[in-house]
Amino acid sequence: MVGDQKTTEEQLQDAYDKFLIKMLALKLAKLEIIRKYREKVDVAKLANINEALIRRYSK
Amino acid sequence: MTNTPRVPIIPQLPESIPHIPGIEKAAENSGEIIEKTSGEAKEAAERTVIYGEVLKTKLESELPQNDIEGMEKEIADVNRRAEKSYAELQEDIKNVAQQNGPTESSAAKEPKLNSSAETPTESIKAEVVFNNGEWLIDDIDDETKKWLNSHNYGAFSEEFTSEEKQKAQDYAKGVYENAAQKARAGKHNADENPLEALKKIESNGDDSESMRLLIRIAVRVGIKIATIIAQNISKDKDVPKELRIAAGIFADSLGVVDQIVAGEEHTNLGQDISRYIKERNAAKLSEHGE
Repeated sequence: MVGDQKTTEEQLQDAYDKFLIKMLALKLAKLEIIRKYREKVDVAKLANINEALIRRYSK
Repeated sequence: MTNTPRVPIIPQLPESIPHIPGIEKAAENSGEIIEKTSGEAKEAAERTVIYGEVLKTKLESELPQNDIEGMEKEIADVNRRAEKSYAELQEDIKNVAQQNGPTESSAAKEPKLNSSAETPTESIKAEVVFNNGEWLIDDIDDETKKWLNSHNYGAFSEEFTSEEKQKAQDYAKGVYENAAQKARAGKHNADENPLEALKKIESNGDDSESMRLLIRIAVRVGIKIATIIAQNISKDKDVPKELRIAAGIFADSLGVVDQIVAGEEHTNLGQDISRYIKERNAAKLSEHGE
């Protein structure tokens, strides 16, 4: 009476594919967190270099 | 799980979605497929949890304490989401397994709703075995017949021929099969089980009459118009909840089957029937002082 239904394999493959996409998104989220804190370190480092240069050339 | 997940030494970009080689071909029964998918998913979740650990550890040596704690908290949150997704997938796998039976063979390729070989859970099996919606093809009551006659729908009030009866029986069976399928999928709210709704309606004179009228319209006028009426009923807040659920199941069961349309002489049928069902329910409510 109703249209074609997915087989067990297809249903499982769909669920698994969706799950893997979520896992990939979470890995990207982790990379983004790390990048954000890495950037903070880099900004602090650049600020130190900048200050050292200013001190050096202001004398 | 036999392999210990490896911590990536070099920062990795997310890989493409790996294929599961065994899913389509190797497994002869769903138990094997389910086990394999579950195992693969567990590894994928574990890989996600350990992902970025090396980078994080390396970065911690350069961060102030409060940033270390902040980063750890954010990453722990991502790991929790990965674990939650894994738990949800396990639930989905369980549902698929329940839907298709624990020992389903390669015959699983048959469409589920039409497959008589499917093995539903015991409680649902009992519902389907003992009720294929015979009540849906019973004759409509005198009140409905009177209304149909007075609104120029006299042709619908006559009794079914044997051929029509068979057609009605098929539709009724389709409604129950669809309800059982939806109940098994378990996507409904706890108090909106489609099979329970049909059960309640069966013992309610007015609501069961509404469903019989829908079946009658599907047989006599066509599935498309019956589906449209059922869809309207399913969205109408003035209609009792069980009838809304049942009408939704009805619309969903028949909607894809046929494209028969009502003739010009019945252009107002949809509106008229919807109004009749609504008015009948309203009258019932006022009788009960609601």
